[in-house]
Amino acid sequence: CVLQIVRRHYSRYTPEMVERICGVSREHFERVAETLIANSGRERTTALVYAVGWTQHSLGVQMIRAGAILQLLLGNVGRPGGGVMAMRGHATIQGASDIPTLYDLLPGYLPMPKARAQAPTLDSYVASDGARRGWWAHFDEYIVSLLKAWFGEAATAENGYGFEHLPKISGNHAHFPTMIRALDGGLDGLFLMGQNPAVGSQNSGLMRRALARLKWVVVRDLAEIESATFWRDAPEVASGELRTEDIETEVFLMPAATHVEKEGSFTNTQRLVQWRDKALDPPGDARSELWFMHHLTTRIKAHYAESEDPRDWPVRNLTWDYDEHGPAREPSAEAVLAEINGYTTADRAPVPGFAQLRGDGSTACGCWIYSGVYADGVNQARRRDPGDIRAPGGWVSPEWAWAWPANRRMLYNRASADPEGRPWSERKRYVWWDDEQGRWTGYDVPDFPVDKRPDYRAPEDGGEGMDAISGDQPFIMMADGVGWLYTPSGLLDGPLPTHYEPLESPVGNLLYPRLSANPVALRWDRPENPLNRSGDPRYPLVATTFRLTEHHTAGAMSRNLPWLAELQPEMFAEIDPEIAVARGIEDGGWMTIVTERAEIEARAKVTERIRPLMIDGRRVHQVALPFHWGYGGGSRGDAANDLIALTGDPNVTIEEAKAFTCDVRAGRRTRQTTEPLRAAHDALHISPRQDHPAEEPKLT
Amino acid sequence: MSGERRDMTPAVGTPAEPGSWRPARPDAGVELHQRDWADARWSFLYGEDTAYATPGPPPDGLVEAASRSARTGDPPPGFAPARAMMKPPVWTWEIPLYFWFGGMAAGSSFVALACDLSGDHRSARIARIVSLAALAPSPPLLVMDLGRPERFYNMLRIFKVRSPMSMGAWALTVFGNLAAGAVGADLVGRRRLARALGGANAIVGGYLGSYTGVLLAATAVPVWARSRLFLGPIFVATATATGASATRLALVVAGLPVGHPTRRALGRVETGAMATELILSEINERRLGRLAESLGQGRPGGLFRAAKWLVRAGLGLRLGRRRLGPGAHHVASGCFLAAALCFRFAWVGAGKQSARDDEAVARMARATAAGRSPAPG
Amino acid sequence: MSEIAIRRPEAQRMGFFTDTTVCIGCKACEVACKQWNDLPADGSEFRKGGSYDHTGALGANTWRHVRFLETTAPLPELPAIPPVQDGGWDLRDPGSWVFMSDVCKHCTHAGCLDACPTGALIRTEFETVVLQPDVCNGCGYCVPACPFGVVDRDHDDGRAAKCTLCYDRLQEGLEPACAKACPTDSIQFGPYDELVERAQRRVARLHEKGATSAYLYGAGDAPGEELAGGLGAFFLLTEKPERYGLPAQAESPIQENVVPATVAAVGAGLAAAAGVALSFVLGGRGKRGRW
Ligand SMILES: Nc1nc2c(c(=O)[nH]1)N[C@H]1C(S)=C(S)[C@@H](COP(=O)(O)OP(=O)(O)OC[C@H]3O[C@@H](n4cnc5c(=O)[nH]c(N)nc54)[C@H](O)[C@@H]3O)O[C@H]1N2
Ligand SMILES: Nc1nc2c(c(=O)[nH]1)N[C@H]1C(S)=C(S)[C@@H](COP(=O)(O)OP(=O)(O)OC[C@H]3O[C@@H](n4cnc5c(=O)[nH]c(N)nc54)[C@H](O)[C@@H]3O)O[C@H]1N2
Ligand code: SF4
Ligand code: SF4
Ligand code: SF4
Ligand code: SF4
Ligand code: SF4
Ligand SMILES: [Mo]
Repeated sequence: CVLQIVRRHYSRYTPEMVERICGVSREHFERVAETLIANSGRERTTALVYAVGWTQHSLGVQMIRAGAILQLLLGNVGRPGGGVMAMRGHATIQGASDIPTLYDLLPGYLPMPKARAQAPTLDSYVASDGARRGWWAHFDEYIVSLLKAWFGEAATAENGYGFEHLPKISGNHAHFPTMIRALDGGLDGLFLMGQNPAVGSQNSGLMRRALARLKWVVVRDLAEIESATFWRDAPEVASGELRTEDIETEVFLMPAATHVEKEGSFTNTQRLVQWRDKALDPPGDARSELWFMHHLTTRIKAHYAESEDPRDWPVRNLTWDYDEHGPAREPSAEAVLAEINGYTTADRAPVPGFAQLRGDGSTACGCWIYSGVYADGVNQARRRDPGDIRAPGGWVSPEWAWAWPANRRMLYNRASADPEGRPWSERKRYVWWDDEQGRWTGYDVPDFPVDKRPDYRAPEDGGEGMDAISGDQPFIMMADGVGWLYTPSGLLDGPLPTHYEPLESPVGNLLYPRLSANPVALRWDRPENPLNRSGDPRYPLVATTFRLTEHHTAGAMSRNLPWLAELQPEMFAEIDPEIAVARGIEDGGWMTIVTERAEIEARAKVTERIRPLMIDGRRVHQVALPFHWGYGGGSRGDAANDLIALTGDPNVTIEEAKAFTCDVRAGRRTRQTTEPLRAAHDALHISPRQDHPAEEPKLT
Repeated sequence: MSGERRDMTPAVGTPAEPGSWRPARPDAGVELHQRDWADARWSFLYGEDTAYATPGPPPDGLVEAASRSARTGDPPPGFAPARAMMKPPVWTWEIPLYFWFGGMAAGSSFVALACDLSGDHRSARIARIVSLAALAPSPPLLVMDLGRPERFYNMLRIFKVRSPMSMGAWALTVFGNLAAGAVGADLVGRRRLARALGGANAIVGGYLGSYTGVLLAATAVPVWARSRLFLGPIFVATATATGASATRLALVVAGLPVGHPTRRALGRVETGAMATELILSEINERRLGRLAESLGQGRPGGLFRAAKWLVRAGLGLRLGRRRLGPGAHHVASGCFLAAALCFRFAWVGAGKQSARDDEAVARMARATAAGRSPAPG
Repeated sequence: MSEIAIRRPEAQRMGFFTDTTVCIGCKACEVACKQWNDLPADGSEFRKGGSYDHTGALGANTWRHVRFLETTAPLPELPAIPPVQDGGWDLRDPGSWVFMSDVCKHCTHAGCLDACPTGALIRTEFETVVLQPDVCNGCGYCVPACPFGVVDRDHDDGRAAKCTLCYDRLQEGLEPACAKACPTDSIQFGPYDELVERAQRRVARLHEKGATSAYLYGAGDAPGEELAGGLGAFFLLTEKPERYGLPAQAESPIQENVVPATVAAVGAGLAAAAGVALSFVLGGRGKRGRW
């Protein structure tokens, strides 16, 4: 059974082994474990809350998986106070994956169609990505409604609702491979709408050199960020490697409206969609993203209006009929929300929820999971009634904004009741089976067919759709209705999380000595992106990067604001007193941090908060670097990301910014930060290619 | 004073004025805001259903004892507040210079009264002129030291008995008017009025010459506050000496003959006052102990030593008067005047040093605490 | 309180209880204060020591200031010879990071207010101490009169400035900006008596849990042991006061010193006058000198 596999797999992960590998003392580890156990059960639940300390690793997804397995085993899923919560970084990062800016997803987690020898059709897409059992049996209704929302009248049953006109992906087109392609001259232009790769992305020296190879960049931002000024003040320009006269990139810097200067919604980690009214007009020419996309699309559509070319079909037939208002001709954000909610194509009446979506073209819906956010023609996300939060279950506040799906505040909440449908405990009562009424009831919207009895059993042959889910199987999005401890499919690096060292590590892997790091992690092995060899004596220290409360990511919003800049005025590095003494570094003095990619300077913060780790008997010292500084703006300093290589987790291509190796020395740097890579870049021959190796592995 | 002015523009709005938010609509309120501080009085932290605090009052004496045990005894070792215990006074050179002039004016007013009393009205007249002349630079000096000189008149907005600065401002005003009145009366020949005004002025001068000591003593600056019983007397002594010296020199210039009783009396006053000052300073310094460090270190320390040597030199000259002749007396008077100036600068400078001395501030507070509460336990 | 300058019958004493045990050092209060009061950045430099605190202290443009203390057992002196030495410290002792958001104490016996010759500093109907920027002429006397090093005169602006306890917001029924911004309720604002009562119960709870170093700074003291007559903005601390740059005892230096100092000074003045007179009386007699 699966549990035995799990047990066998982790039998070697003893507290002693944890201590030897991580340098976390056995006592600390046991205290954490005991705390988790003591706070999980009928009366108590534990939530795991994580952010990039877990994710930014070459096995980031596996770390989250490990947390999910733990929560399933401890009974902390689908119950109040439980769960695995991602603390989202930017406002509505959650919303940006629901209605994604990700290259491999369509709205509502429908996969992006893939380029195949045999071009996919709507039917083959539904057959391969939908599911016969569980909730995904409704897959066709969602994709057809999406296509109706996009292509309107032009989407008909005969033309597969225009499905074949959707773009297809052929490989990994994430941020990093795309920038490597740009470095090789394979990209014309880029929109940077609220992103600053010249400082915020790893191997930012490579990023800047890639930007310098583009024909154009559109930067929409609040400030003149480094990604818009690299052509005149990047370290590579200062060092003479790049010459402003030679850089052909045309930069369009567009002032953006801030979040208080435009309306729209934020979705948080709890999937709560909260509407935001506009408080102020943006200054000068600053405009909202919506305004920009609206007017850009209108112009593009006008440009192609007369085109007969079949490949322009999606542009010509794209529905684009949002009202404009005000002197700036701002499009109506609520009109967009209404489209996301979905409507019946016959009379454009808002649908009450995704249960009403149809696969026959009679409904249109921009994102099925958000269906219901505009039910009754009312902006449900704008509601702000907390209700009586002191009443039993009152803290669920169902009238405060709106949560997807179907205003459900907690997913899989059938699990908050025992197999018989009774609350696990009075204290943790949430959703339960009411036998008298013959339905599920509770404080939240049940995440289960409301009238499916707890004792319902799926037919012997498995059954179809939701019939296949028994009354005691809360995980309705899984075809078998149960939470998966073991994932036979879906993840590219294996069914059970396993210990690997980071791609760069001063120590070997005690559990898998021959492998060390994740074998399927993404590495772009090229001279412009060298890795420090594991165990390389020149890089004996481990470095991590982290955030300061006082600054925000690449710093445009905080380094330019004197009130915040004065709170953390300079780039610094935290080291422990032992290594400071050994390297002759003084508190408050200058120090230089070195990797294969670059060397940067920083003020030394010598503190006992940073402790050496005892790893398998070896004292490994740590260096902690905030990554908020760059060469432009109000408060300037070297960028930590100059030091870091481009690498990626195999599933989602997240960078390994939390662990790499380095060395430190006293004093300031003696040359421009990324000069160590200058030769590699000078030798780079531009070879634009359609089929770019950076985007391996190819899809098959 | 202020060299390069830094950019004082706030990120938005007007400095130190209330926030300049613009509502989107003129009548727009703050959504969901509850008036009467209701927002502040509700919390997840200290609501009834949390373990934040005990439900009932604390056991008797617990809170008091906890505070007492943290606040009595020795200060913690190696604390490093980096000059953040208190703010040093912001006054610059104008203030000690004013102390010197103001003291001189007050001292001369004593002399004028004494001359009148002893019947030497001519000398009294000259002393009154000296007093007015010494006073004249005082108001401009004080105004110059203000951060907003154009608002100097706000000093006379209120009369505040407990504020030595307010009382001083009023004393200076009254003294100035009386002094000017007296000299004016002298000029137009109204002798009796002049004498009456001069007499009144000596009384006001009694305050003007001594309040500056109170002004310093009534602060949190350790070396000043701990010298509170000495500062007034020391400052009066200096004032008296400088008043006498200045008047004596003026009388000499005005042709008062050698050996005139007034000259002799003034000489005695100078010597006596400066000797008193020296003795008081010495005693004070000894009893201050650790706090006296700020009097001995840095520039103020140097000034103190200079002042003392000047006093000693002056006294020496006085004692050797037989051999040295009247010129030596004039040098001695000069020494006293210079010594007084050094003392004034030294005291103000020492205050700044003392305020920056975190340990001194901490120890003074600890000593007060020990004086007030029973032994920690 | 007799010195209240603005009377409003329904007003009561309002204050702050800053509970440092729940502070996370986010500095939101420091920034919110600057924002609400339109205070400029002072500009700062990277400070040695002082942990994450680079603004250093309260001042004319910093009316809330968050202090950082790193508490671990002091390290033994390490010899400066590579290779890396074992510092001999207990790597399992994580130490703790203590934060404290400091502010004007709105003293019952306010030295600044006692000192102010212009009446710029007043006691409001909420029994807070407010400095009126339109009256202050920058005489600077309040600066050394504050035993807590709070109020300061700005070098360029010329006036003194300090926390107003958001007098303008209080009048509108809004809580102060710093308290509003505080995400942890480390800064608690409310009627003074309620705050003191809750704070005392909080100390009791912490002592129950074994945190016996917790104490109130500025409230709940035995009579005669109060700080400056009791602080309108008081704190719950866990380290000795000096570690936060606070004095162990304080009083309005004016109320403490003015009377004895004046008695001594005026006494001396009288003595001096008498001395002068005496010299003149003696002037007629004695040996003739060449003065
Ligand atoms: N003030 C401020 N707030 C922000 C941001 C900001 O820039 N400034 N950024 C926002 C964004 S975009 C994001 S994504 C979030 C991120 O929020 P956090 O995840 O909190 O961000 P970090 O500080 O980068 O990393 C968290 C911690 O991970 C630790 N860490 C490093 N390696 C490991 C490891 O192997 N395991 C574990 N468990 N921990 C490790 C680091 O020491 C660090 O303390 O914050 C958001 N909030
Ligand atoms: N070494 C290291 N590197 C990291 C990380 C790390 O932990 N360590 N963390 C990574 C993470 S989690 C993230 S999320 C990235 C972030 O990295 P980036 O996204 O590259 O950097 P940001 O500074 O967050 O960029 C956001 C920009 O949006 C602008 N902006 C703000 N509001 C608006 C708006 O309404 N409209 C528009 N158009 N622009 C707006 C801001 O001014 C800012 O310049 O950094 C990553 N890089
Ligand atoms: S800083 Fe605090 S309030 Fe602001 S978005 Fe982050 S978590 Fe929310
Ligand atoms: S004396 Fe200091 S702490 Fe007290 S009210 Fe005045 S400025 Fe504030
Ligand atoms: S500086 Fe201003 S507030 Fe301070 S005492 Fe002088 S007038 Fe009053
Ligand atoms: S009460 Fe107002 S003025 Fe005082 S510190 Fe808080 S925000 Fe600043
Ligand atoms: S806002 Fe609150 S939690 Fe943050 S530093 Fe200030 S007092 Fe501490
Ligand atoms: Mo992020």
